[in-house]
Amino acid sequence: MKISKFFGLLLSIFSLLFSLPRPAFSQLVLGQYEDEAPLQTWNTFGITTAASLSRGGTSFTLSDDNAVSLSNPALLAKLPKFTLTFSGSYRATTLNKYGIVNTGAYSSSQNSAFKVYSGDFAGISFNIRGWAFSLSMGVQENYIRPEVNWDFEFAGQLYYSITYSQTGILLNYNFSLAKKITNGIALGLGLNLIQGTYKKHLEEQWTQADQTISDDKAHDFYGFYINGGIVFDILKNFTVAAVVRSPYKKNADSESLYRFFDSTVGTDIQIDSSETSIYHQPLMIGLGLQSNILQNLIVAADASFLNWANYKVHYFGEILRRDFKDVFRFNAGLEFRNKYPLFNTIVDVPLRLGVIYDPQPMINPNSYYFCYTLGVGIHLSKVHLDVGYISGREYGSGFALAFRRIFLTFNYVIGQTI
Amino acid sequence: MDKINPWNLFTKRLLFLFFLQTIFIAPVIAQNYDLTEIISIENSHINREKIKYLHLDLLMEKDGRIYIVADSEVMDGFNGQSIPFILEIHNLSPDNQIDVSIQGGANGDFHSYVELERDFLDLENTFPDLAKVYDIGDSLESRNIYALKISDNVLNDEDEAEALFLGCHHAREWISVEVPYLFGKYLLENYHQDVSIKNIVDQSEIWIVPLVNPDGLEYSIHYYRYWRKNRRDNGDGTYGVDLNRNYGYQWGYDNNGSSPNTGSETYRGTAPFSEPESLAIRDLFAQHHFLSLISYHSYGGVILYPWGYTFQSPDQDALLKDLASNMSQQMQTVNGTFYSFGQASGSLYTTNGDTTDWSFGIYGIPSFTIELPPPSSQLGEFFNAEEDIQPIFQENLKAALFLIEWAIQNKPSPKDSQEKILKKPRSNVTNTLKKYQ
Repeated sequence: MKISKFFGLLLSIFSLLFSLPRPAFSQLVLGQYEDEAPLQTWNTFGITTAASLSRGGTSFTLSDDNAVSLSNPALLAKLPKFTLTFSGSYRATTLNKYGIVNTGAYSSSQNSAFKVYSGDFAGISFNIRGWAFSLSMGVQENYIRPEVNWDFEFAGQLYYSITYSQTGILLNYNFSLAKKITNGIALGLGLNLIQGTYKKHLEEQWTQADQTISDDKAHDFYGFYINGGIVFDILKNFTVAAVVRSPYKKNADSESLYRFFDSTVGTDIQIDSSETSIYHQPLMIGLGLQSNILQNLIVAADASFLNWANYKVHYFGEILRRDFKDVFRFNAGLEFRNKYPLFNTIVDVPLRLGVIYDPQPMINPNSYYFCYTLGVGIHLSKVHLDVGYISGREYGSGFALAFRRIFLTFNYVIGQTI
Repeated sequence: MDKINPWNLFTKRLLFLFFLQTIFIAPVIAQNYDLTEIISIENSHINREKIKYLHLDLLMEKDGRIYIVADSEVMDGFNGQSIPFILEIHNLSPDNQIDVSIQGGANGDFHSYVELERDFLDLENTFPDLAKVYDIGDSLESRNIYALKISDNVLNDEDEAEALFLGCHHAREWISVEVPYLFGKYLLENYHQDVSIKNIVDQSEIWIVPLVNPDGLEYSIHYYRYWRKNRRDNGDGTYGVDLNRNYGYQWGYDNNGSSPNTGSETYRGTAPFSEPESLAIRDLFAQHHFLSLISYHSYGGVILYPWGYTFQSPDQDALLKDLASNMSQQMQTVNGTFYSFGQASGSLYTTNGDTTDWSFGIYGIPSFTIELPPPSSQLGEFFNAEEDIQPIFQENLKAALFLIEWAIQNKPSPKDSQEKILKKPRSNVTNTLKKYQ
């Protein structure tokens, strides 16, 4: 009877997830078609996994898995002796403005549908005698965009075609160390390397004239930053945390090639360039708290400050203007910790929900995203499986853009959470 | 087929992590010890003696100060020798900062907005008595539209012949930035070496606006090479107004010479001078008495004169034709390149609301559109090879000098000027003057 209740509950949650009103998906970033524009929010702080995401993205005070090394490495000291985490996601969105699309050169009558499946994170952690460390890698940003292929034909003959493609990914490699200072305080420090690629190709062909023009841009990214945090159990049921991510330079070895080619007379004009690009990533600091307000109910909230006003871009050596402002992001969530018997054992089934207020750094349009999150976990003694869902809607631009994403995180643990 | 072992992959990733740490952390740390600054010291005899044998990287002397690229060792040395210095790089506004370590950009030898801004300010700093940079207005995306004035006593508005050179109404025509910019640079660099240049500069006030459409140029460089218009959001999913169809003489005369359709490459805008970029040029005219105009475009290798909106000949057809013919001849002597010439409507296609119809129609001055090379689509269209910039400039140099000399020789007497001022403008020109910075 209890088992059927349990599955009934699960079924209800997933039904709820998929019956939610489906927003008109679109790009979260409004009018930001620059090379470095993220696929969704600019305000990434670490790499989110299902548990923290479904709790409104709160990740400063609760140690769900070893992805905490990217948000608050001090929480590693609260993880079990050994954890192994894999996380992936399915993202369904459509994009409005990117590259040449809907920025002037090429317009679409509707948003471009876009689906991405990706492995987002993998990491291991060890927690031995008050010292903890972790190694992980994760996807910090995805630069892939829907391709554009358009042909103009007349009287059965091809006159003109345009192709636009953009791919790329930014990976984050992290090594973190945490130390339990006293029974209530832990400190953590993370060293992060980023590495990635970006490629953009635009080609137009006038087939009757045998002419082609093309524009290629490529960046090889690299950089280093430090993140750190402290977590403090003020009371048995009340914890606070402070986190910081250093400002850093996301460097890029950048290459550009413009080309005009006319095969009829052999004109081949190439303008190529190799330079260094630098994206000055902002300082991020955050405060978090969590409390067990009831025996099985946890409330958590995070506030983050992102110093986007100091954001600067040296693109192929030129300082490009970015009109950005500082932003404060707020995350809040609840977690109900329930236990159910399953196959002669007791499983933990945390149920989570939350909200995110996520203002974007662009001064114009002045917009923010309000997101709600839901999720559920099945935690056996050594295997934890969490599912999270986020749906966001934008306010301020007049376009009411939205997105949704589903996360699945697998966690293998040895030992107990501290 | 070998099976992929995920654990092997993971191990490789870990090894890669440590490899990256070794590679990347070291340079990051090293960079912190290699900071350089631009500093200045007083240009006094004592200071010059003190730094004489220091093998410093001297930038320039200006306004009684010596500018130096200095690292921490140099600055420590100055402190030790009690040479007071100022960190100049921090006195420059962010927009004016000159990144001395980096040149080029994605667009190679062609100018971007930032590069033009930097090079204009550099010319002003290098030739403070001859060159002055003005911000004559802002683009839609709040970029400055710069004008470089060249004359002796450049800070004074003297009673001299004024000539105007414009470039890059159309974003993809990159060469049209280079020719007027290089012309200004040439005048300044040759002022003290070439008597004929000195005479021209001394007797005239030359205004150069090489980048009328900065927003469009940036979009052309970074996103779509063949972008033509400015960056107006037309509100219907289309962008851009053709700035060379937005001027207020016979604007929208018909739908052949410009288009009322927002998506068209020749969309003329909602009204004459609806765009801040064309408005900036209108206001510049309202404050000066230009006697000639060349607006550079590409491509074609053609010299065009009014009218563009009609096939009817203008009043001063003979004069315009004679000037164009002379310019073409001058240009051909340089590289042998022949620029054909003729009335715009007959030589190329009809245009209405363009710059030269307006300047000729309103102010009655000889006005020319020069379509720079390549001469045909097959030879590159809106592309020019970087190595062709100088030859194209050189052949246009003679035409520009010729037209300024004509303006000097035909400058009305003060009495005539007064009458002309009373007569002009011929149609409505508002007097909302933009204050120069």
